[in-house]
Amino acid sequence: MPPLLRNILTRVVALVPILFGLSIASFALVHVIPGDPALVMLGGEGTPQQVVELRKQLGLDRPLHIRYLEWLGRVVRGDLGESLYNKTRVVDELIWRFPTTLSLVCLALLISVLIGVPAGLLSAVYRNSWVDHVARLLTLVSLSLPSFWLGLMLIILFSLKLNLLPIVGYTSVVTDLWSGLRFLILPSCALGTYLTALLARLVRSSVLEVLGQDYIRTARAKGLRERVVLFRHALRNALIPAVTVMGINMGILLGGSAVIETLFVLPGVGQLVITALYNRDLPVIQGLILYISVLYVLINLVVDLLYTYLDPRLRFG
Amino acid sequence: MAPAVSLTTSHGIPPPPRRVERWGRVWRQLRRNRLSLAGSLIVVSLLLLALAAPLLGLASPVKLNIGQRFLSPGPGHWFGTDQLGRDVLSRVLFGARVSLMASLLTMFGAALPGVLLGIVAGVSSARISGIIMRLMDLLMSFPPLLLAVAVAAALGTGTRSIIIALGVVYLPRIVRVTRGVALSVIAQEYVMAAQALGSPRWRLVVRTVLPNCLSVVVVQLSLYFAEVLLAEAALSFLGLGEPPPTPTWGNILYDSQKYIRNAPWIAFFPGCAIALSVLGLNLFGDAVRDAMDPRLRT
Repeated sequence: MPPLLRNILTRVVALVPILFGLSIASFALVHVIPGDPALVMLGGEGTPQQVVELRKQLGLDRPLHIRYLEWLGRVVRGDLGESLYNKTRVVDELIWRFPTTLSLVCLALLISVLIGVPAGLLSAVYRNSWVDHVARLLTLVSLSLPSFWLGLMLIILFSLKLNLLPIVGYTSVVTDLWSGLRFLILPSCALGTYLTALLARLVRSSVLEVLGQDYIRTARAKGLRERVVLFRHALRNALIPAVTVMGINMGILLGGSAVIETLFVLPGVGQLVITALYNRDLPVIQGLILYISVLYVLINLVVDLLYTYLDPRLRFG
Repeated sequence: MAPAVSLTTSHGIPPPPRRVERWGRVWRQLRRNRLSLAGSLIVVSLLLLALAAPLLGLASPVKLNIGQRFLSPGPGHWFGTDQLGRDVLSRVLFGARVSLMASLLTMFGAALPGVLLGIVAGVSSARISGIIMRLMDLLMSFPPLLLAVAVAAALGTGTRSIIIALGVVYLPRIVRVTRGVALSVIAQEYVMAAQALGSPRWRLVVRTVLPNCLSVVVVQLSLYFAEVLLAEAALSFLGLGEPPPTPTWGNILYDSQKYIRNAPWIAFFPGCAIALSVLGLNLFGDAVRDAMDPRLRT
């Protein structure tokens, strides 16, 4: 079997216990928490009759492993349960809300690549010059800003003081690209700043490392122009670790989007998680946590494979 | 350990670096680095201000004063007053007590079992280490903030839940780092030498492996501490933390949202406090890491 194929197969097989564990952990969230889940969900305000009904609805009167298997069976068939609060199906909510979160996360990712990579490259090439110092200072500060506070400050500056952008609201980028972007630009800047700084820092150190390698000296020695050396030889190799960092941070963005979506009142998946949290809507939280975690694990798998593909040493090693 | 050291040196194997010497070298490096000095200065002064908040003669952070609502920053109220006429400076400083304390407790709560498990995973058999690491992999496969939200959902809101939730998030990260460091320490010649001389296993772990791991792990902890501070603020911003009127940096920011049009200062200052403390910790952590590991210096 070719190594690449074998690699993919090994990774996919290794995924099975992780997915299994994720399902148990998400299940445990509702069913093994201290105290009676029905009481927790009703917030201590339910009548005894309500408690009995909810217990029955959640299946709390049956053994734990039976409940788990039944739940797993439904989840595998795409039924993530329904909200206790307004009876909507979690899957429907997800389908409706996911595009918002995806466009927010993608735009944040795009911003961080477009700014972070050039900043890191410039910083490395002009090492110890004023460009480098300014870039590193900005990086350090950006890594220290809470995203939601940055969001608040952006609203104050761009929406309230300068009147350039709407404060809250949402139009899908699919229906109206321009107006959708106007709603998304501030949230994605707030969300993407941390990753931008992380990327800039990483690209800087890995470009510096690559520039010290023998093959760069060879490339220069054989008379390649500096631009070719820099882009085709140095940056390309330096970007390989950046891919991993971006993959890992997709998950952080997915989680972080909950805070930003709540702040900017964007109808995304993260906002749903938080709303469900306020309503003690445990089935919704359970379904969403499982869904987002599986997504996160799959993204990490794709990134790992991409990494192997990008680095021929790993592909043929 | 003392006889082991003398024996190893007589056989020409380099003795383990004495701890005093190494910390001395790190300290000299650090003193030269103005950034780390600035970082630690920021962190220490914020901690002191937080501790001393009740002694500074500030207005009460919780007492309402309707006659003084929405005063903009100026003499008397350096950071202005909020929607209930409370002094924002006082709320930020008293908020620091809750936020910094919660983050510190989270770090201790996660670091104690984390370092222990990491060392155990590093020195024990493949099976035990496998079990520990697979469990940690599982915890790591949840997106961090969502895992914290889930734990808080199960436990209810409050500072206690936030501490447990963030502890669960950082435990696997600390275990991984510690195990990695432990593995590299075990591969060192001085550990092998001590082992060859028949030093009991537990003694080897407690006297040789653990102390040599700690220096590296502590640096990583200071960087995690910065992340925990940000996460704690985010969770309490979402309303999962200490309920009002007790101020935390996160819940002041949550309240401030409604008034950003007329009173942006309520939102501005607590955010600055968070950013400043995180910056201090990052400066400090980066500098110590560079000082301890010359290879990483750029």
